[in-house]
Amino acid sequence: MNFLSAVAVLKTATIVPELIVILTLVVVLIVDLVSGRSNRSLPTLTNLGLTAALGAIVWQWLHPQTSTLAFLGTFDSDRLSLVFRGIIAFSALLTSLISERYLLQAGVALGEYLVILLTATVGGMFLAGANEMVTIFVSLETLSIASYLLSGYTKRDPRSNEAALKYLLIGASSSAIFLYGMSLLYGLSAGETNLLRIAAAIRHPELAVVLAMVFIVAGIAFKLSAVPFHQWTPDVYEGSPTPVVAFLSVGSKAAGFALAVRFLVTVFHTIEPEWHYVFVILTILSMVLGNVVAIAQTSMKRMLAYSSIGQAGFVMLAMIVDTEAGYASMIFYLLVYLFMNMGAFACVILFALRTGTDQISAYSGLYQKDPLLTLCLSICLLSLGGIPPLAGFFGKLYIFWAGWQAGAYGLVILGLVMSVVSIYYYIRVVKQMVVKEPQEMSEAVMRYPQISWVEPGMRPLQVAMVSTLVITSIAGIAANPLFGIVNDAVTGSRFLQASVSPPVIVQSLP
Amino acid sequence: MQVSLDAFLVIGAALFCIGIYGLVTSRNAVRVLMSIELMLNAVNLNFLAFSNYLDSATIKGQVFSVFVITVAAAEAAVGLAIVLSIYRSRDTVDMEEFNLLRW
Amino acid sequence: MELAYTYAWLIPVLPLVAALILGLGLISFGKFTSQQKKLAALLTLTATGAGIVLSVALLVSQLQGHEPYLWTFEWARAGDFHLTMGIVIDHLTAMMLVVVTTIAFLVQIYSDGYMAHDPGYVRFFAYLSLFSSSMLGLVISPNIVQIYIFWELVGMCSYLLIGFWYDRPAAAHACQKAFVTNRVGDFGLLLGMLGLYWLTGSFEFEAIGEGLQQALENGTIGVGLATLFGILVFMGPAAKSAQFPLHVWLPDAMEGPTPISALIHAATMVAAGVFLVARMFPVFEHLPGAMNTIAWTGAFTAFLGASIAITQNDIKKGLAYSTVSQLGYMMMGMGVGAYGAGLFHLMTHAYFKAMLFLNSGSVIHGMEEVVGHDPAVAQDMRVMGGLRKYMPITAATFLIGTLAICGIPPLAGFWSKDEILDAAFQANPALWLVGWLTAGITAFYMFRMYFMTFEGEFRGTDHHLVEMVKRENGSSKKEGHGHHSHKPHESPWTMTLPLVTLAIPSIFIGLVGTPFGNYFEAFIHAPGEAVEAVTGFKMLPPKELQEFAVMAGSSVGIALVGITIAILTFALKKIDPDKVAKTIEPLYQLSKNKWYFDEIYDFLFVQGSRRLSRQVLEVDARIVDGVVNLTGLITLITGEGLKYFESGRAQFYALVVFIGVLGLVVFTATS
Repeated sequence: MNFLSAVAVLKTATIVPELIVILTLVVVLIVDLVSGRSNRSLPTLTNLGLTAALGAIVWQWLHPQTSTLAFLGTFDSDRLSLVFRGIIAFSALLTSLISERYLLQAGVALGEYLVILLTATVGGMFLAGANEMVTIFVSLETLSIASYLLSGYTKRDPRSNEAALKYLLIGASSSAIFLYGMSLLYGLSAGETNLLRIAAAIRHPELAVVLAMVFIVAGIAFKLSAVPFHQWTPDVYEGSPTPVVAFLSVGSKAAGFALAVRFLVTVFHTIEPEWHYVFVILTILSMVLGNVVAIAQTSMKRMLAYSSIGQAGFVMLAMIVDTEAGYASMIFYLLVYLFMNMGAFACVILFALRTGTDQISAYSGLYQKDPLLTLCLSICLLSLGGIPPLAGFFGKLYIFWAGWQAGAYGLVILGLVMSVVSIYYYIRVVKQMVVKEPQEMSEAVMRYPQISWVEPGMRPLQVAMVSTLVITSIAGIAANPLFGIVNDAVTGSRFLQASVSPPVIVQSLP
Repeated sequence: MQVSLDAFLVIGAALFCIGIYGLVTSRNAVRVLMSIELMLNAVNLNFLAFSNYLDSATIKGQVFSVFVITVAAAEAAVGLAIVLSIYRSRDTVDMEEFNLLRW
Repeated sequence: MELAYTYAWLIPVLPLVAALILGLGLISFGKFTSQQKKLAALLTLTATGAGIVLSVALLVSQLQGHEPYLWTFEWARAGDFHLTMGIVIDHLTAMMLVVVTTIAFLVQIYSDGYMAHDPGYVRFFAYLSLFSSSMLGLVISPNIVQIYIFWELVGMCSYLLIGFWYDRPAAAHACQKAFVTNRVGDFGLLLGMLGLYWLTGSFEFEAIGEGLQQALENGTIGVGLATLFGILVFMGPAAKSAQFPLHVWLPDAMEGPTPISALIHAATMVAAGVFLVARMFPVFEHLPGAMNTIAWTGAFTAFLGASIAITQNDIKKGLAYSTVSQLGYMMMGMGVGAYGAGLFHLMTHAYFKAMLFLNSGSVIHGMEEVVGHDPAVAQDMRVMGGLRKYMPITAATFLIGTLAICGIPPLAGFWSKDEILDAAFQANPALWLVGWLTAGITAFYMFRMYFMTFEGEFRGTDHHLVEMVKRENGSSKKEGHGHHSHKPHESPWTMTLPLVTLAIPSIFIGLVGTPFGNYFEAFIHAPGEAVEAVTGFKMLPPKELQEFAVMAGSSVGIALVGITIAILTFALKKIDPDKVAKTIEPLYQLSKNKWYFDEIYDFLFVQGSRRLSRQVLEVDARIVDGVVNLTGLITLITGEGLKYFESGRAQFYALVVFIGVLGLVVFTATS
């Protein structure tokens, strides 16, 4: 078999976006190697590469294939995976935009950082479409190992080191558990690694299947930082470089959700009540603990860490509803979450760059000094809290609506209560910034430097901030295209269609 | 003597549990990393056993375990690098000393 | 006239554009924009003025019997999930549009004078425009989702505007309180909305009403469940219209600039709750349980507000509690099914209460000349007195407002309040009794305010008194240097003109809804209710006239009693208020401390939630320590074996992961 026919048989065209990212990665590596440390073009190259990858994703979306399985069934390039790959690539793009200035100020090398970030992106993107256990494992580990490196990237900072070590230990043990679950599945299916074949082979729900399911859920829940697999989150978020946290909270999480949907829905349809039951527990715990504990936080990054746990709870609520609307609302929420969370992190980074702190109390009176930053952070936080007419409100409304339609009344009511709670801590920050008199200004804001965007790396940060701000404000009001995308993603995914055809009612809260 | 599949699985499970025990109790960071290797090797044992007994034609499990070994090596490399960098800044690899980040 | 309908969408859009222009200007060219005061005012006034023209055109067209106008478009669609947005112009909308635009316009003129020296002038106008836009958007919403969106937006604007000035430390939590209280209400509203959608499959008001009626008749849903959803929906209006038990935020919201208090917290936004109840009337009318809840909540709130207003010394707080009380009347009217009467009171109240608040702003403006820019003193009525001499226009218009709110014929408040009380009496005499007593208290406290502020001797130059008031109000401000004069002065014309203009509707607008020719009710009545057309003023048949005379006589009577007591106490000093307060000490304290609601809520919710959060955090943190302690215990028992458990924290995270897995396995396998 020659090269071209191999390409045709394997349908290599389906992974063009990933290939573009890999190519970018290699180019960045070589340029960095050849041109030395002082090269300014690396972030631009990265951004261009990621934009091209996004373009390829859009092209694939516009030209849907009849058969989406590629690489002998190991990679599924259906519309669902396209949306997730788009989210991951977009979050990497935004991360790269907001990183440059941060890294320059921290005095660490740009080249390796971008290479590792792109590696993580490739891993996440493959994970979103992986349909076979070896592929899943390898792409998951590509994402994870790159993430460990990223979180320890500012290697002279002991906190960053410690965050990386903790992340690695918990991550490695979770992936060991995940792997153990997969080995059980391999045995139970009498030697299959393809998800569809495993599903076909496992006919009888028995205890070992449940065991494998719980192990696999634990491995995925680590990526989603669902309670009780969340304890690393606040520590890692606090210690890691802030742009990395932004990527972990959006890109890595989106990859986790892609994996969760594909794996659980495909393989465990015979024990659907059980895996729903497990996820109901995780959802309740995440929503309650994430949102309640966020109230008590004093550091912005820790607050966002707990808030991201709570937000993951809302997304999981959409996932376990297991209806077409449920999955659609889940993707919709992830899409808007991408922008509002990235926007919030962009603001936190900018504030930290200008003042050197991320304590919530340091934000007092920021309006007087920097209205744009205040506006952007306020809009993003309010959107995260679900205040209409911002994007987050429609995301939550859609999730709750889908949940209510499917009869998960208890979960929806709990979600509503928790979204009210979440308002409290988001509003606290907004209040600090907007409604304080000059004399109550914090020290940090008092010493606030003159606003300027001319330093290297500031423009990309500004671009990221303004674009997320605009999208977060507009996406709610002009949501119809987004609704169209998420609906097509769900209807264009064969395994989801197979799952939702008989509508199943989730058991509500006891 | 014919060894049954169950025996391999039991050894695998035991090895996994030993790995967990080592992971949780070791004070030395390097030993913690070794315990993780132990857990991954337990999984490898599982894969090999299943592959041998149930899937001897295509031996996907053996291929899988090759991947696991590779990835485990990468993970260990990264882990050791991090431990090394911590050792440089803190002069210790004692897990108890790593508590800068906490509630 | 069709043209007006075609361009009706401009009514909310124009102020929005004005707000966007000002906002973008402030962000991009902060310094430059904040200096363009006249331009900003002109832009805002033009936008609102155009709104008035369109609204009046629409009102005239509706009065001439034009069909209700509905224009919708599909805004979002995803599977079964679709939302429509649009514009509805019917009688109710037309009336609300005119009320909102006119009051907003006058308040904006007034703000020009009131905020003249404030550095945040342009920002203030941007917020005002944003608020007007959201409020107008709320009014023209054809379905409950759109209302909800604008509902939150007006709440947001109110939040921004309450926090506009922050110079009193005691008020540091006011805007947060407003927001959180409103969120509690909105939570109920959203839940109720989802519930009603689930029952009826629609977000449109009429369709929900019809669906509910059918479902109730078929017996597919229980009345109890439907009532529960109705009451949940009512939580939204209860929060926005400051009904018990969610009324606590409104008086604190008075920390904002006074024009805001007039526009948002007296005339328009707080009336949004009543408006929503009116819109949801097709739903509520099938649910007697919900209607009773509304009526009794309203009645109790009316009494509660009035009873607290008696003892307030802060002129704006007093007016705020009076607003709470009057909103209670409106809700009571809605609850007893007096749709037209409730909305009639909404309209009359909007005009005279906006005027009263603007008056209070004018008074504060004058007082600041004497006592300095310290709201703790400048708003305290104990240091006022005798202001009539210095501020004749303000005093005269305040007196008109006072007479209107007391229900003295033929001023506006009399007709609307009387109609509500009449309806309440027919529904349940107990409700009427509460309302009737409240009317007396209202007359008393309003005249108390009038006498303390405008009559007697001016006390603002008495330094001992000023110091005493400062201490009591916990003001930390030092004696200012801004003492320009020893006499307050009348406000500039930009402030008095709106006062005089608002006095006109405060006197005359009631005449459109007299029992002798109820034009108002003929125009605005509950959907489906048959109302005969009014051709002109006519004498009532003797029996009805007698009934009217008894009802009106009794309410005027109690108002006069209240006024007389107020005159005896505060004008003629025949009764010593301190002595009375001493004899009924517990009641006095109860009123003065606002029935201790703040303290109770603070204890129950604020402290409670903080404590809960901290405890959950502890639990989350202590899982690790807990395991350590537990294993410590085990170590004691098993000896040396497990002592290695007490190692670093990161490994305990891993342990929690393993325990979590184990727990999930056990749970799942056993369930």
